[in-house]
Amino acid sequence: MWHQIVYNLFTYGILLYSVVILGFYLFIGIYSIGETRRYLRKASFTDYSLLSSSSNAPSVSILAPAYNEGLNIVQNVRSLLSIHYNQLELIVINDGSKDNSMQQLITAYDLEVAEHCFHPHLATKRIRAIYKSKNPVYHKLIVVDKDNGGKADALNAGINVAGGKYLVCIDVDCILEQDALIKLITPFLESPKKTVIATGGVVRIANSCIVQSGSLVDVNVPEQFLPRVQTLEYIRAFLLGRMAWSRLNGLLLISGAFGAFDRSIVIKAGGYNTKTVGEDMELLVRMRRYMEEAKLPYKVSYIPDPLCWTEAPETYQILGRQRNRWTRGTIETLKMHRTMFFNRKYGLLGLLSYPYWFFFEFLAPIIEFVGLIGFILFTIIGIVDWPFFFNLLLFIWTFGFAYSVFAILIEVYTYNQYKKKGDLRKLVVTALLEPLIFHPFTVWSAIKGNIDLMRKKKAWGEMSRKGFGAPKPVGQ
Amino acid sequence: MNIVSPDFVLHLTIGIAIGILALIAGILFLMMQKEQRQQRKKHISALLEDWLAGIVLDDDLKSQHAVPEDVQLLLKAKKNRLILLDELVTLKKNLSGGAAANLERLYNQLALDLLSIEKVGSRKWHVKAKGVQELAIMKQQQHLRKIYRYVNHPNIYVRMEVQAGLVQYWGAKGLRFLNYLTYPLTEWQQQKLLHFLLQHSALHDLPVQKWLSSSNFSVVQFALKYIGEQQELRFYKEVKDCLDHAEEKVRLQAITCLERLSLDDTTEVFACYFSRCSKECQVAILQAFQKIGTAEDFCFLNDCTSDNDPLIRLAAIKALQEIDQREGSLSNANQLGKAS
Repeated sequence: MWHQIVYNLFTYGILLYSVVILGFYLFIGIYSIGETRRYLRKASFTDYSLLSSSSNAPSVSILAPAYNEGLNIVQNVRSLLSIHYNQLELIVINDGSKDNSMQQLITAYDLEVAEHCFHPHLATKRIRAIYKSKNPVYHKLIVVDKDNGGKADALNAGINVAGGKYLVCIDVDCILEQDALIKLITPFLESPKKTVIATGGVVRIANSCIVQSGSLVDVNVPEQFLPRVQTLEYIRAFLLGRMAWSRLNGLLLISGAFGAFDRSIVIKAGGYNTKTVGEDMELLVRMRRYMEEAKLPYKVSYIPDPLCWTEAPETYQILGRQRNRWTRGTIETLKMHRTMFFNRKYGLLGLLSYPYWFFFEFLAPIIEFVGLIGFILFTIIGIVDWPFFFNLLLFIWTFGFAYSVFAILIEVYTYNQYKKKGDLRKLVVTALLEPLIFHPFTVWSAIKGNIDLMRKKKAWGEMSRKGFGAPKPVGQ
Repeated sequence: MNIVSPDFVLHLTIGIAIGILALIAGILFLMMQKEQRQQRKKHISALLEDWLAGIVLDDDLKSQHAVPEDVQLLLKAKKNRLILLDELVTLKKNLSGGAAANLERLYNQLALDLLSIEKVGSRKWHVKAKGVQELAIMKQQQHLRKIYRYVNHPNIYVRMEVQAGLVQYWGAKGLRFLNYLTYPLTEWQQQKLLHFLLQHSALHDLPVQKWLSSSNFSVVQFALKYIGEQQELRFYKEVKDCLDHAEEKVRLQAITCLERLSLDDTTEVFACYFSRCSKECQVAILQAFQKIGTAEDFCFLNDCTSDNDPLIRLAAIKALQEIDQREGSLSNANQLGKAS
């Protein structure tokens, strides 16, 4: 019977795809352990602090783009200025904010228009003025005021103005650990043969954590379900996924919230692309492509230390926008660099990293969605093998749960950030619920992202945040 | 058609579920173990705190420190001695003078070097590296001589700690391993060595010339950093020769080094070298002019402002601005106007 053949092809096709993706997850989980363990062992006797006061340390420019951040901009900049590193400049780029961000900065830091010569390596929207402080205490601060052009454009303006050998791109509202910068810069200095072109650090969720004067003073598992499930998701993604890809030297993404780059390679690769909403991934892919095409030995490093804390979306609406944007960014990047797909010329990048992203990041939600529609159709026709279906459903749920529990185990083994009574229980219960509530929502958001991309929607999507201005103790 | 039977999937699921239970048990065990270890460490540290504070502050330079009975009892267990060793090493890193010497004596008195030596003998690289670091911090001269053979250890972290240890103890004299180094020195290692070198006085009988002609370019690069840091003017000629080194990184380091040494003819040397070097070196030279240039260099810098390359023009303008600001001279104002 034809419908039985279609049913079998469909079912076993999806089963085969699932087996391959689960195999990859298993490999990633196990393979990441070696990289994390090597880092922890090295860190057990390495004193990073000597770099912060060295006059021979490489110069670093922190780029912090800001758009309508008036609520917290002064505190956030103060927090960034407190980073102890000798050869540092902090460049805040006001991307045409409509609020009073610029005026607040001028007042708080005693800014005046300064003469600052730079070469416009990268094309950007008009720069209105460059400000420096009259107060020598803030001599590390440079504020660039420019017309609005989006995050990528703001970062490109910062790259033009920057004088540092290395760039650290961060979201202005992120909270950095005191030694975050040194730890992020050290991998650039440690590789004897290959040029390290970029490094990334682990980003953690700061919702429900206590923040005082721009520093994280108490870590808590988020009280609300959505940030809590994202905490779990970030642990999985950073401690397992990124560490495994780092070990393979196949990383395609360094979070836009916190990453360091070799400035000269960024400029040679052409800087951030303003035509995509996934500018962070696109830049790294382009930098890697540049190095591959120039046949230069290179490396992209990742360190498992929790260095940067950020606020996760607390509502489905904002989370949906974020995931929609991530999907569009991924597809745009993959499309721009499609020449690398299974192209031996690009080595591991073309033969493994790119295909992995194509099949298991881009296609996964689509296949899942199509599978769901197929299942509904087969149910209507009445050809579903129910015992098989329930067993398979249970299997997938159990596997997802096991993977999350494994990530929690690695978290406890490594940094053990969540050690209060009840934290473990909360995380395990969240891992159990995630496949039922959170995962379907992210799949739906990804599908909407695909639809929006087809409709040529380019919007970033508003990401309103509460900020860490008023710390609220847990339980209140 | 059933390629996979529902029962097989169910069995697989049960297997994973058992695995989950094992993982959760593992998490609980790890958490408990970590908590216990932390508590024990806290407890022992609290017990040792007063005693160690007394030793640190003791200004009577006697050879033996009194060890209270309860501490003696405590230190019978190896794991407790390891905790004390960690405490001593952490304390010693932040101390100098008599207090540091007291801790070294206590380390010797309690024969904690045996623990460090045991670590050095370990096959695990991170344990070995840590052992070496402890011996260096505790200035165990007799053992440091023995670990000298590890300067070319295949594990980068072990050889880095050995090299750093030698310099930490002997200062510039400890750098003689550079003569036989077969591996490149990473930037990070160079930073570390310079950091420890600055804690010692400079020496005059070092084979710096030999390092400058080393086939290992990272050794040349490091030697240039050392010369610049210590203001070793007697190697000025050799540094100038490095401007023609085959390796670009060395040439760039030579420019930085010359800028640091900055003799009367340095800007002239730069000006002569300018036309035959790479763009990167040209930019580095113009950046050096920002710091050491004078009004006498305006002519050269003005020529650079009409270069075809915008980066060269920009660097030259910046140099002119900087010199102008520094010297308070207004004479080049017109030339600046022309340049921009």
